[in-house]
Amino acid sequence: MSPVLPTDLSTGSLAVRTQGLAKRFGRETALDGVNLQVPEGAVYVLVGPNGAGKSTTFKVLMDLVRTDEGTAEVFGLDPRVRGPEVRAQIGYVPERHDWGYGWMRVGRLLQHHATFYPTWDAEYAARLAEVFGLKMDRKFGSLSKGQGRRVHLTMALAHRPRLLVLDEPTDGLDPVMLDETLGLLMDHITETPTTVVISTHQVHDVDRLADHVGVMRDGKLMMQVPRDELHRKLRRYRAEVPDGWAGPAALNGAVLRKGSFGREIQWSIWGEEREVVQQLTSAGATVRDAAPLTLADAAIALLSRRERA
Amino acid sequence: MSGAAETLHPVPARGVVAREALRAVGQSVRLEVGAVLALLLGLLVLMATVQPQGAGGADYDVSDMTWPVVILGLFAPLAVWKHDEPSRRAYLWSLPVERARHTLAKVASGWTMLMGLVAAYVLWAMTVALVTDGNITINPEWEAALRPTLPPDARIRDLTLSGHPWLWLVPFTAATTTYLLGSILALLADHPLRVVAGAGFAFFVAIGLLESTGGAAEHTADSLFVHLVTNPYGIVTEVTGVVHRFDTGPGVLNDQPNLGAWARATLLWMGAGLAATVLAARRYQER
Amino acid sequence: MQLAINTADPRPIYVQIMDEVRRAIVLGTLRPEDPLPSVRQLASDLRVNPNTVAQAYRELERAGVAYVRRGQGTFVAAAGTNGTERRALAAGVAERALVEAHRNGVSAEELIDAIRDAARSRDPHTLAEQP
Repeated sequence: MSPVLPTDLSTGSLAVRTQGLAKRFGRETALDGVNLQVPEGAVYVLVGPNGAGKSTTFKVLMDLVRTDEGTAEVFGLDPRVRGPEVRAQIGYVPERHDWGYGWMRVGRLLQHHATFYPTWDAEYAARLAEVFGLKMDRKFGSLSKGQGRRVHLTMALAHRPRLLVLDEPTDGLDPVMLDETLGLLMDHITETPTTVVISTHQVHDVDRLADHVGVMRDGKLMMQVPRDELHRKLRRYRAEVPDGWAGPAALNGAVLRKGSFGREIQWSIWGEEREVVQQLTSAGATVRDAAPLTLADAAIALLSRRERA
Repeated sequence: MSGAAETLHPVPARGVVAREALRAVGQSVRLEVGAVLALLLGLLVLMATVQPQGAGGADYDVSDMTWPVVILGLFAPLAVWKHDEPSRRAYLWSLPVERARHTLAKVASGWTMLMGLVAAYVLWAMTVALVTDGNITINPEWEAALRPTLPPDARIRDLTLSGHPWLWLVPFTAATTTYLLGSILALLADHPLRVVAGAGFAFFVAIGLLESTGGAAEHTADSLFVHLVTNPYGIVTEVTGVVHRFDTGPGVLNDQPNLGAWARATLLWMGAGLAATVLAARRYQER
Repeated sequence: MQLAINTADPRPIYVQIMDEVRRAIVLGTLRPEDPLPSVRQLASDLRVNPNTVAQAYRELERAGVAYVRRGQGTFVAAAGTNGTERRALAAGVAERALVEAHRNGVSAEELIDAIRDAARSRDPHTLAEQP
């Protein structure tokens, strides 16, 4: 594992901080030393393939899963000790779609949910329901995936929580509804000071929202970094190189992805652009281009990296 | 972090949670409650219309009457928890409420519904007896035993209400006890029905096996059965208010309603059931 | 006002917002004392993090392109409409063209010559039809 990728945000006030979360389900390792740090007011996107441990991490925050090791804090409170208070701060959209009572009508489910949140804003809930086109008379259990998701989002947003924990919130939404939802979410966080953690494997959906990015794989948080820094430090370099060129040894571990076309290499490298260019140049390469990556491309570069023996 | 506490959103008030639990449980079991009430009403109509004249009416023995509510109490928790079975309790657990307390609020809500049904059942039984001109008795044998102490033309109904009014409580406490036992299963077991069936089956198989071996083992089985079921602290005493005694000779009146024994058995079984339910609710941890 | 934002663009989103505002000023679609959309409005319209919009507005303010009227919002500054903005915009275009040229192994001189040739052979009124 390369030492270059940053995993410590070391900023001021954190809404969420976990330390060394570890969890095994039987022989499966679900979490392996996760130090999640979500600054207050951030829109933190947690990227990773299915089964990377994103949902399990979120469940730890809700005290739905207890870890074998490690601690978690939400606004300084331990979810294991002060679960109800912690959960009162969180608007949660879980991964599973059958969350909530299928026998209730949508209107009744919202009403039921509202009783547990003294901060529930009925007017706002009605507005959300209208924008989402919720059918209040339908049984919740009879809804399609996308419709159910909109109910979940209403349940999570309408009590104006201080922290939104959204586990694949865009799953099942059609493109138009996805666009509407993202607009609503942006509206919401300008209107209400909120910290947002979103997990997704559809990075493109939330590209414009993210100001912090975490990348998870195999239960490990490989990197977490402000979006600006990711934009600045992870670049795709195109350079002409001599035959049989192996690259500067100093960049070992910082090269996340390699490709080539003829004598032109196309490498995704982590580091300050000036230093990387200098190292490539002094190793004999002619750098043509150093382009920042979109979030989706960055995620692919980080996730497709295989540790070399 | 220190400033965070001032702006924390509050958790819901306990009363609000309890009321909502009652409301939600009430709604979720309305079909089952409706079915029981419809069944009782149907039976009542049937008995009132079909009962032949002069057939002596339908007699209701208060202590034998408890068995339907005992069964009802045992299975009621399945209805209460059917939408929150252990594998799908994530919604319930993600609410900002202390989980043990929320669990007990749901148990109490189900119990409230059950008590309503038991009351309906007792009323129904009395109505049937009145409508069909039957007797509300305690137990036929007791009538013989108690007859000498009563005026010659006294009906047992008088005796029941005046002499042993506490027997009217028995259906309620009996249903409560089995409801608590059922709740423990519903809270802890992934498949409570299988556990009930399995446990019952295992109990009688064990008794049968022990009895068939004879000798000391048979004696053990006998005393096990007697202690758990029919002795003054046994479940039968709890649910019927009657102490069955098999150790006296034949021809002797054995079964007697016994307030003291019933009260002790009830305290024991209901207390144990309540304690175990609270423990089951508290013990439920996130996995 | 609808701005065009593209996540595939190598420029950070806040820079794209700034460039779009500058472009509107240079084209005259935004004039001095015109209000800019509120942070909330723009964030919601573009589905962009409001912090990003706020950052763009802060940078515009620092560059003297816009100013904040307390309690009323952000407005286009008079200073933003003189030649400086035009030059800044042209510089940005030139910078991007140079990067593109370098990637293709074209030197700055070759690029300048090519631009002159292209401009001569091009009628500005048929701009949209050019490849």
